[in-house]
Amino acid sequence: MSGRNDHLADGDMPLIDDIDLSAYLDGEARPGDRRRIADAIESAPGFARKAQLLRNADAKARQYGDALLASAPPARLCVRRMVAERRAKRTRRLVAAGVVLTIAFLSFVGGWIGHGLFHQQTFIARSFVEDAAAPHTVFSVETHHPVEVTALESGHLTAWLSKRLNIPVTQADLSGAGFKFIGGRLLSSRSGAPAAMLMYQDAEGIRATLYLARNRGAEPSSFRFFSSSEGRTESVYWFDRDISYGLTGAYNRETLLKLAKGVLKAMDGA
Amino acid sequence: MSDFLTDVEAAIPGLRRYALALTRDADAADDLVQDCLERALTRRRLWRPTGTVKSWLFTILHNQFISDRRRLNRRAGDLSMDDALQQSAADNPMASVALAETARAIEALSLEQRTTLLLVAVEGLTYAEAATATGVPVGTIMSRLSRARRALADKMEAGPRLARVK
Repeated sequence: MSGRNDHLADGDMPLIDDIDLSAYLDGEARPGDRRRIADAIESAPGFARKAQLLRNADAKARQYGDALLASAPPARLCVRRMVAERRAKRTRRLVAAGVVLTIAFLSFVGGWIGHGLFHQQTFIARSFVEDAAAPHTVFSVETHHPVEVTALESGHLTAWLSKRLNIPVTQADLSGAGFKFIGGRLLSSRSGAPAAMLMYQDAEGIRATLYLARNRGAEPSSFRFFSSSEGRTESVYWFDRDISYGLTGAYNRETLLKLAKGVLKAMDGA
Repeated sequence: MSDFLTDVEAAIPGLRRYALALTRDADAADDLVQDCLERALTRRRLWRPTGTVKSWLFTILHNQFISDRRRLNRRAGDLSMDDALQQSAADNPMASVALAETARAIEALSLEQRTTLLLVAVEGLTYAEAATATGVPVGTIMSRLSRARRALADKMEAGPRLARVK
C-alpha cells in the first residue's frame, strides 16, 4: 500500500487522519471532531480532494456490489416458501405424532374393551352351558316322566315350544345316528327366560338332552365342549345368531359331535 | 410477524451481495444465504428488536461464513470477478473494463478490509452493526474501513497510469 503522502495527503492536515475523515464521511465521527473535520474539508483543498477520493472509493465498491448481484435470487432463497415448507413439515410431524398417539390410544382402548368382551363372552357361554347341562341330570334319569310332552305329540310340542321361545324349534331326526326322539318339555333358565328341552335315547336306552334357548348376547360360535364338574356328562354347545344350543349326555365327544351336527342340519333345514 | 418476513426479504439482495464478496462463488454464496435464512427462521423468536433485522441477518451470515470458512476457502477464487464480468464485455466494453479494474482492486484487499467496506459502504450498516456482524470492536471497523478506502482510492489514482505503462 502506498504511504499517506503519495497522492492524497498534502502537508497541512496532520491533526486529522484517514480514520477521522473516513468516519466523518460515514456520519460516525465523534461529536467533538465533526466541526473540526468539516472546517478542514472546507478550508483545505487537499483535504476536500481526499474526501472526494474516499467517496469515489465507496461508489466503486457499490458498482462492484451491483455487478456481483447480476442474477435474480434463485427460488430456494424465497423466505415465504421456506416458511411454508417449515410449516408443512411441522404439520406433517404433528400429524404423524397424532397418528401414532391415536393408534396407541385405540390399541389400548381396543385391548381394554376386547379384554372385557372376552370375559363377558366367557361368562355368557359358561352360564348357558351350565343351564343346558342341568336338565339332563334331573330328567334323563326319570323312568316314567322324563318328558312333559311325548314324541307322540311332537307336532304340538314343537309348535308350543316355538311359540314360547319365539324361535323356530324343530324336532331333529337323529335316527341316522341311532337315536330316537322321546319328547320334550318347557323349562325355565336362570335368567327367567323360557328354554326348551328335547330328549333322545339310543337303542340301549341311554339318553341325550338337547337344550335350546334364545341367544342372549353370545357371539355366534362353532362347537365347544364342556365337562360337568362331576365328570359324568359331556356337553357340546354352540351359538348361532338367534338360538343357543346345548347337547348333553354320558357320551364321548365324538358321539356328541355327531349328534350336534345332526341337530344343526335339521335346524338349518327348518 | 409478516413485518419480520418483509424485512428479511428486503435484506436478501444485500445478503447475496455480501455472500458473493465473501465466497466469490455464486452457488456457494447462495448456499450461504440459504443457510443464513434457515438459521434466521429457526432463531426467529430469539430476535429482539434492539437492532434492525438486516444487521441481525448480516451477523448470522458472517458467523455462518466463518464457521464454513475452511470448506469454502477451498472453493474460493474458483470464479474470479474477471471471468464473471467478461461475459457482459461485449455489451459495453468501456464499462466492463473499468468494472474489471474496480473488481481487481477490491479483490486485492484483504478479506477483512473488503468485507468491512462492503458492509458499511455498500450495505449501509452502521459501524456498531458492522462491528457486531464481524465480531470486532468499532475501532477495528474504523481502521479497516479507512485503510480499504485509502487503498482503493490509491489504486484508482494509479490505475490509468499503470494501464498505460503496461
